[in-house]
Amino acid sequence: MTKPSRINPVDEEALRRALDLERKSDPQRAVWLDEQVVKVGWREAGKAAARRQQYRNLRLRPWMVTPSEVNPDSEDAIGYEHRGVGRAAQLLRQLLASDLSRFEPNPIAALEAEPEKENAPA
Amino acid sequence: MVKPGRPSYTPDDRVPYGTPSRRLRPPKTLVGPEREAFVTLVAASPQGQFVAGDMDLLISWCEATVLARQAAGELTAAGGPVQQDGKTNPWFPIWRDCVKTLSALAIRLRLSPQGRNPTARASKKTVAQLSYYEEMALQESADDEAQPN
Repeated sequence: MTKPSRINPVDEEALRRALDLERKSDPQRAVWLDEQVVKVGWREAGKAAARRQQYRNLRLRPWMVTPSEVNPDSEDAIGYEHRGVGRAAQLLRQLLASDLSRFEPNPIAALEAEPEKENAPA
Repeated sequence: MVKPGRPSYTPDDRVPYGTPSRRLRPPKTLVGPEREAFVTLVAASPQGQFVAGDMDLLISWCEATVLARQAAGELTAAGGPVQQDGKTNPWFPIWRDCVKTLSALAIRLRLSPQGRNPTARASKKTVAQLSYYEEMALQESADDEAQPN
């Protein structure tokens, strides 16, 4: 039996938050997510939830990719710039530089809140 | 009362799959709040409304917008257009001139309701909200020149 790989606590928190948000957004989606948690595990279900949350919050078109789906050094393939791989990677680099997760449900709000977090008293 | 039946289809100016956006990008020389005003205006307008030849008018619009906001802020901070000694606040004529300029440019750039719809025929086309990636592309300068994205 293989031991499940450990997950970064920042990613874990973001995935759980994405699951919660996605469950609250739509009762039917909540049922589907609960099924997914049983079928493929909470981590994969969380990734699906994070992807959908990012799609909604970044107002992406169906053919675009989210920051959770790319690598920080990903680039646009020639002729496929409309998929937004380069932009997603750019956004992912900003998230990682701010110690945020790639699965952050609302990347823009999280990045905007980051300076406030730094200034907030401990 | 709710109308029966399915609402009629209203098209928007969404960019079809694989088609590059035709929206203008701000020039490198435009920075700060003026640049933000440019991106906000272009993103909120139908694509194809502005062409490279409109760039100077658009920049003037952005500068006037920012200056009008600054003048309005100064007037609010000073407690209104009339000072304690009874004289007019020097920011008041600046604000008034900016609003006049904006009003004139709005017609030229077809930004006001009158400018958008000079004839009685109302277009049913609405402006599609841009994706965040499209906004990122708009924020980038187009090699100092006005180039469609």
